[in-house]
Amino acid sequence: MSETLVPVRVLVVDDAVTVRAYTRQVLTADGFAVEEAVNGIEGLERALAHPPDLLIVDINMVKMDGYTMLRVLRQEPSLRNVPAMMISTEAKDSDREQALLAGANWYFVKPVRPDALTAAARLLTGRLLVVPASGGDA
Amino acid sequence: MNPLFEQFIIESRELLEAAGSALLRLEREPAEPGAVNDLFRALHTLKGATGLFDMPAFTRLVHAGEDALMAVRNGRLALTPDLADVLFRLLDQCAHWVDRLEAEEVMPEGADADSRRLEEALRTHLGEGGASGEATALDETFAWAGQLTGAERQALAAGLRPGVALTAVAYDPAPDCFFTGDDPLDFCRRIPDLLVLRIEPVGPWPDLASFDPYACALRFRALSAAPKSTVEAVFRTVPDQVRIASLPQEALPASLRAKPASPAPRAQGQTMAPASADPAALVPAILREQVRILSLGGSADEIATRRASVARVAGNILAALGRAGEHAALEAALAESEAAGDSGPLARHIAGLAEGVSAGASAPLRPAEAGPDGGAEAGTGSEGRAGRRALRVDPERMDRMMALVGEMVVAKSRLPHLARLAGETRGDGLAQGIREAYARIDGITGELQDAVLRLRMLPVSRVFDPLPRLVRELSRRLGKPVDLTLSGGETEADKDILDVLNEPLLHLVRNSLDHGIEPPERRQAAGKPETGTIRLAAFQDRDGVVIEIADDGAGIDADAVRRKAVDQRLIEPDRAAGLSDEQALQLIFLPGLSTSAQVSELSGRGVGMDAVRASVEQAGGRVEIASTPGQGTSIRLVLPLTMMITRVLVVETAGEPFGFPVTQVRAMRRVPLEEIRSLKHAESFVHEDSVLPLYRLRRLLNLPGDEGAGHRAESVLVAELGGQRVGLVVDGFRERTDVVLKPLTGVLSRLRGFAGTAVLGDGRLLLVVNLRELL
Repeated sequence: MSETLVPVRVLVVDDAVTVRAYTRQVLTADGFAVEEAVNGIEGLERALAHPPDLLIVDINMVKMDGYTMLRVLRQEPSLRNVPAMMISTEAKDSDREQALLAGANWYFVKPVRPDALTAAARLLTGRLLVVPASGGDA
Repeated sequence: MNPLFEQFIIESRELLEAAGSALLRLEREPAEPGAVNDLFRALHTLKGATGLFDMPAFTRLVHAGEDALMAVRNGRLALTPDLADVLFRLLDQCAHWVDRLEAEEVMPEGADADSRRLEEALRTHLGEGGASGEATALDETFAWAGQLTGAERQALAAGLRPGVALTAVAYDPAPDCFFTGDDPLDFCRRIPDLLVLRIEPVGPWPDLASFDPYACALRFRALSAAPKSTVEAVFRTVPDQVRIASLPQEALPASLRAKPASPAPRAQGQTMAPASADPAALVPAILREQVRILSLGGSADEIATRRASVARVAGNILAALGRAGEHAALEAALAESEAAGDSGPLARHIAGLAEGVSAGASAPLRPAEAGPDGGAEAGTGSEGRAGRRALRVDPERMDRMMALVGEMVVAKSRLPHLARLAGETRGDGLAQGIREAYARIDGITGELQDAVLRLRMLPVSRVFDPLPRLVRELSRRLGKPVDLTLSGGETEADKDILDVLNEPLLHLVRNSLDHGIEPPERRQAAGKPETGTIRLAAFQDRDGVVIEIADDGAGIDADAVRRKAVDQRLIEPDRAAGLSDEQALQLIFLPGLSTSAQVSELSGRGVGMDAVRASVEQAGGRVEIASTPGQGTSIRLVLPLTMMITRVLVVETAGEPFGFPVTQVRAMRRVPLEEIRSLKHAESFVHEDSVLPLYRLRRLLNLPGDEGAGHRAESVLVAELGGQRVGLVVDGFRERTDVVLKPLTGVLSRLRGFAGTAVLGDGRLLLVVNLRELL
């Protein structure tokens, strides 16, 4: 099973520089192409201009928060089924639910372990996750 | 240092600064929502950033601050000065940690205890209680949940999952709810995972004659296995008519509680933070989450959209697991759902996938090696960073650039010489060509120099910013209300200059508050407003950047300064008596002199104005002071715009040029020989009614020759050094010019009396004099 040669594109929307840098570092190391946006409005613009394969969106941001961004984005035909992951420091189930209601497919509580982040990104974008057990592949 | 960690240090400093100024604003205008939001957001972002590293004490403390602010934002907690103090201490603590982290990359020992102390202080403000009161209220409202009928018990037992709390709903629709468009039964039907629904009359049925068919006479009681928040979403338009509570299973009669099945199902994906979960557990968790998404309420459009994204995610997961072959079955389930307009078939299919995966999840999953697309980061980086406010450049690189520009200035100064040579030896247009090229290079070099200098310029607000905070704290501690006004913060100065300014400014402001501004009762008695004023102003003038600190306090008593200086044996009594008031004020710059009657805890002792003066002069600047007893004190710091470029006055002595920083030059004079008095070997002259000592540069530098013969007046440069003026005899004055000062290196570095060398426009080497060392 070979992976595609076209890089899988991830759009990271977060207003915290350090968090963006972290996400970028972890995902680029795993072969993703990472783009960044600093708030919901910029995130929308980028996503519209060039629909990504995965959105990773923070909740609490100035100008436009992550919920609003996802809601607006989901109304766009080209973006309605783009896999979206929300990441926030809030661990309450109500926040998780808000995220899902807004259109997220998955919710991580910050901080996310690098292996969990890459695994989730691979799952949500369909990049091969399992390395077949030795000799298991006929 | 790891670049990510470096980024963290920079960002947290910015966030803490933003938080500090927001807190000040909030304290001043508690009603302004912007301030509390800014503060909250800064802490929130900081919390997220700290979470990326192993520093639990840091994360916890910021979290505690965030909680307190949330309470302030919701109006549950007032921002008292005491609470503000705790928050300021919290910010200080964090700033301290950031400093330590930058230096040592680990949290200091005792961080945990420090954090707990502040957390405790915040909790005291937040107060306890509330939770228990809520619990008893719940008991009465939901007492019925413990007295279910047999059929209800059965329904409940079938739907309960171990460890999952129930959500109880008590919905009493308003009697006129039909007129507001509510359909109470429809609300109840939309409760997800509804296990029990009871519909009861609100009271006894009235007789038919008085029965109003348009008023709602029913109330609704429901139990659901969905989380409280999901249920709340259903009733979000009628929050005043409904009470919703989470009911732990322990609250139910024992016979009703769900029994854990022997192989405990992995229900963690729902409620546990999966951040710490094994990536292998992610597959069933994400799949289950898709099932949950399909169960969420909303408009038909929303639900269709969710179906689309869920189907794509489920397909991707199959692909990621190398099971793309099962895609067809998924497509079929999706098609079935689409056709029926019901997410059920898709949800069941995905739930089945989740079951299958978690059953077979014993085989370890590990992320595949980065594939051929491993180097995929190319191309997107630069545009992704467009949102940054400024580019950060290592100061050393900038200094290197500046040094190169300096070299270029020196190199280009050889061109006129070459042009002259060409003109003398050749008849063609070469000389003219060189001169034209020189003019052009000269212009570009000037612009380049200016551009590089601008790179280093920062607004003065950088050193002003911490002052409001300092003043606030001191004025509270001293019980002296003070208004601080800052102006000219946008004035720009070289970063190095600002760094030099930092400490002196703090010191001067502290002095003003501690010694200058009187206590309110004394101010009142003197007919002044109770609130003192400290004004800071920055502006640019011919000599460079000027910063003025003026207060309307008690002023400095020149007599007290004289007495003090004599008491501390810093000056002879008769000399002190001979000083004008203006001159006596200069005594406060003497090392060791402290003017306050009691040396206060705040301003400390010893390190005082002399330290201020020393650091300002080291940067090539000067300090001026003026004070009127009873009306206040004003201090001026005059600093060069930059330390890279020094503006010098060029003088000529013994045929050589020498430079003096213009910030030290007060006047240039011709002094007639007969006005120079000579006492033993010491010479002096009168300048602006003061007797100043007179030195001769030639002698100070051991240069040959004598300037005395043949003329009737001396060229005297009046320089000021630490508030004391001296005269310096030179052969003649030349131009003022900007030079790039290079420190003396190698053997030359042992020469005393010179600040450095520079190359003049004509290519001659200029020695810039350090008067302090020379005298």
